Amino acid sequence: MNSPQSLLQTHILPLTTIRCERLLPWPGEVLVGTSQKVDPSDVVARAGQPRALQVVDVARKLHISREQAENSILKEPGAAIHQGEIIAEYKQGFWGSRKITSPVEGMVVAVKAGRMLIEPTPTLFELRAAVSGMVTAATPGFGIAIETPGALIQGAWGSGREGYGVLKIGVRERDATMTAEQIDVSHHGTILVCGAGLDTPLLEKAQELQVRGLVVGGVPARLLKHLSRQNIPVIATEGIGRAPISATIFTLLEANEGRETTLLATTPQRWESRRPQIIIPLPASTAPPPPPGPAKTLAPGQRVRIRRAPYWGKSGTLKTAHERPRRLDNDLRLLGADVVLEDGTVVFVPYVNLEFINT
Amino acid sequence: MVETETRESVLVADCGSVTTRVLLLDVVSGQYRFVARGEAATTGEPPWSNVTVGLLHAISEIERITGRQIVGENGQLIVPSKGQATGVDLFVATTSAAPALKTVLVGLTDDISLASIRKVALSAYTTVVDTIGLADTRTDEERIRQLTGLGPDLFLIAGGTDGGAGERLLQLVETIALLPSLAEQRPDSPRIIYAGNGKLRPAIAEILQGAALRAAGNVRPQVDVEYLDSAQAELAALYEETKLFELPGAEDIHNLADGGLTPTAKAFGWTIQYLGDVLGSSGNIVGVDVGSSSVTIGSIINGRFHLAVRSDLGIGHHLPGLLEERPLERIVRWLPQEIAGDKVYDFIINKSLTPATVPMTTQELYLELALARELIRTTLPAAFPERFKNGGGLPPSLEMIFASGAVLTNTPRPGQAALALLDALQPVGLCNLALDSHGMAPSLGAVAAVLPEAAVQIIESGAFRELGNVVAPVGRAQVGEIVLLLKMIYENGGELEVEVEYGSLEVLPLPPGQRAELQLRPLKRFDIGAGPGRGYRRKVYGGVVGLIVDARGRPLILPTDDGERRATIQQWLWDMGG
Repeated sequence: MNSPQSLLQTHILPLTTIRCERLLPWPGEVLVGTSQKVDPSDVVARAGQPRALQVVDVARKLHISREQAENSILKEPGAAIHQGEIIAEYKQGFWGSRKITSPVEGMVVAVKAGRMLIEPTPTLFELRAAVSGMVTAATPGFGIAIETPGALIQGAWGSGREGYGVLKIGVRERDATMTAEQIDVSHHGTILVCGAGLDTPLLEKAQELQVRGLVVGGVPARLLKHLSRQNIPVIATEGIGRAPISATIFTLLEANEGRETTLLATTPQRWESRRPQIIIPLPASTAPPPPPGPAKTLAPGQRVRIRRAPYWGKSGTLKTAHERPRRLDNDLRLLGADVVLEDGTVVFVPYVNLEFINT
Repeated sequence: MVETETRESVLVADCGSVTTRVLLLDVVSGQYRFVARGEAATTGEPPWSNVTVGLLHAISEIERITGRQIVGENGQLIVPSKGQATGVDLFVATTSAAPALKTVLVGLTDDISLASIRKVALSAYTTVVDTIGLADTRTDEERIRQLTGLGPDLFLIAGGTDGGAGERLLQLVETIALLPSLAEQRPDSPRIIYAGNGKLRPAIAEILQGAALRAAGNVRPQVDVEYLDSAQAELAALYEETKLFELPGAEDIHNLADGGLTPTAKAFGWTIQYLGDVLGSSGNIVGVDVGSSSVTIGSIINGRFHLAVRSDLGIGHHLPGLLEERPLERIVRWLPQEIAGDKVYDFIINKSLTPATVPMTTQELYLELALARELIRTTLPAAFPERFKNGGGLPPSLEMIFASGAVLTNTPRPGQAALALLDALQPVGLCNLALDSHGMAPSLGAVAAVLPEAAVQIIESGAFRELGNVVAPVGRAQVGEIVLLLKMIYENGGELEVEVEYGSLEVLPLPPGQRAELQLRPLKRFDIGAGPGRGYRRKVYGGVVGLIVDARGRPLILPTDDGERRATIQQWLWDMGG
């Protein structure tokens, strides 16, 4: 690719105004209004969570034909039904009748070919604020927006859950990795930064001690499916595999150890703009800090992160943006830039392998 | 003639999932020629969410290169041109960046109706998310629960011969009729294409009352007759009416483009058909396109066109899909170095998260080419269903193979791409290999639809980068035995004679622009496409690799010992100049 005009941008901001949208997955009821202060545990909206549809095959259950079943069904689409209520009855003259009762409370949504489709009454879903701040927008039926001054770190991958707790740094070096043995009761209820990687014993111990969330440099691909089924939120700041947490992020996390922190561990989806985020609300000053700025342009001095080996996960400063293709070690010729890494080394990186860091 | 004079400059755009390519074609010395190319990141996804942004970036590259103003101050394309330096006369556009149709197949038996309807599904950008047939042992409740979770866009239904019995198909349709979303008549409610027993259409319509139902010709009017055209046309139309416009900004491009915005795979298929017609080739042609979110293989075999699109596979966004069908061992077997399986797994997920990135090390370059090999091989059963129905077997003799997709066309050395194609497709006989280096293949099909002479002239002027011809003898022998006598007589009178050993891979010099007469005499009843033991003479043209003699055998069998296999792969890379 020749054009560097569309590089991605990652926010790693020590102080900004963070806007956090909290939206219901299904239409429901918003419980808070604008200008209201909320804490992470506050329920801000609720909705009915649909449950799996139930199919009742009347013909099969009563051992009758489809046509007979149609005549035996007592409820029409739209009818509310209680668990145990008779929904079909087949009369056999002198011998009495056979009946079917509803397996759940709910509503009949369809009756076709001797089958009934029942939508069970939804269970209550409560949406919590997850982050402390001020409600700045409320859309009835859908959700709210919360704003807070604070530190914002966008990650590369998230396990799909969210959580909040006090931030604790479990490693003193960003390229170190915690072991399961290093987790103890002092980590209970915390958002734990556990280094460059993650393994199953560490994950299990963290869950056992009710750690509220994990921040790591990278997670191994083999753990992804397992992680997506766990309740504990995990954010990988760099991506998949073992990777030291970038120096910029690690320094920022260290500076905020002990503060209340929220993990919104959104799993990146192709057509969605939401990325996994670490939010650390900070005390408000007199004037709110500026929100994250627009996408940067390519210029010397710009902070960048490299997204491919052999420099994957490393950050640095853009030194020279080249206008003619340069040759890589594998002989590919591409447009790119010289980047000064944190250890002072200067390396050439194709534009497509760079992302801007907004610090 | 007047038409031609007013449509000299042509701007063609292909908005891929990762990269948007724009080419400028213009008349030079009375012939259409490729003038310039611009590329930019596709911007259909967040944070841009408008594919026209990337299109304008790519056009600005062409403006910078040529000095020609193509976009006006108001941000609109200048059409028609005003003199030599402003605007273009024609704009055509294709895209593969839109989401695929999540499709459920409904039919009776795996090897008849479901097999045919699967071919229909694979002719467009669809992802088959579920299959319901007589062999399906799930209860209605399980089916409905799973279908509700999957949220399909389309049910493709087939089954029964025309006029035959239909009770069992109607029972299956009654199951899906229970889905509440079918009759809700929302824009995102699932659509239905029925391409089964024509006699059942009224009954199907009655069962699916309220649903968005379209009827197509029966894919199996008789048990031994397959008719896919009608259902494929309905599917293509449905895709273009619905999913294509889910790509943010697609409608703007559609309104600007002559002939509208065309799905890339469809245009790629047109190009293959066009190559068959224009080159006057009596042989078989295969085109392969390995994209970020789909793999397309189009072919003309014995005069019959076939297109297979795997929208669940790709070298970027959909790379993890490969792991559903291929264990990691199948991928790493193509590597000359040892890489731990976990590293490859990590790489695959990272690549899907950052699909636009390119390899910076030789190891990752080889890894991407290994993945490309397996992506193609995984798509082959869809591309050649009849061949794979009975467990594979030798591929038909091909006259030409051409490949699209940056993973193959952007390799630093052409031999690397050639070797990947040989390993993946394993052609037999004498075949020409070419790369779509400018990314023009889909665009040419779209151009041909509105300005055929431009497409013809661009193809004839060398739209593809010729890698060279490959000779691949097939038969049984011991490694090292002579199986083919090859003589190449160059235009300058020079001659080269080679005794080809079984198991060898070598490249003979025949650079681009040169021609030679090739005389082939197989031994031990080896077949080079003319029948066992039969030789022939043929004029061949040079390429950037040369004349490749691939006597490694078919099917290609790799050494089982890891070390020996890696050494062999490395040797092949060296042999091919990779």
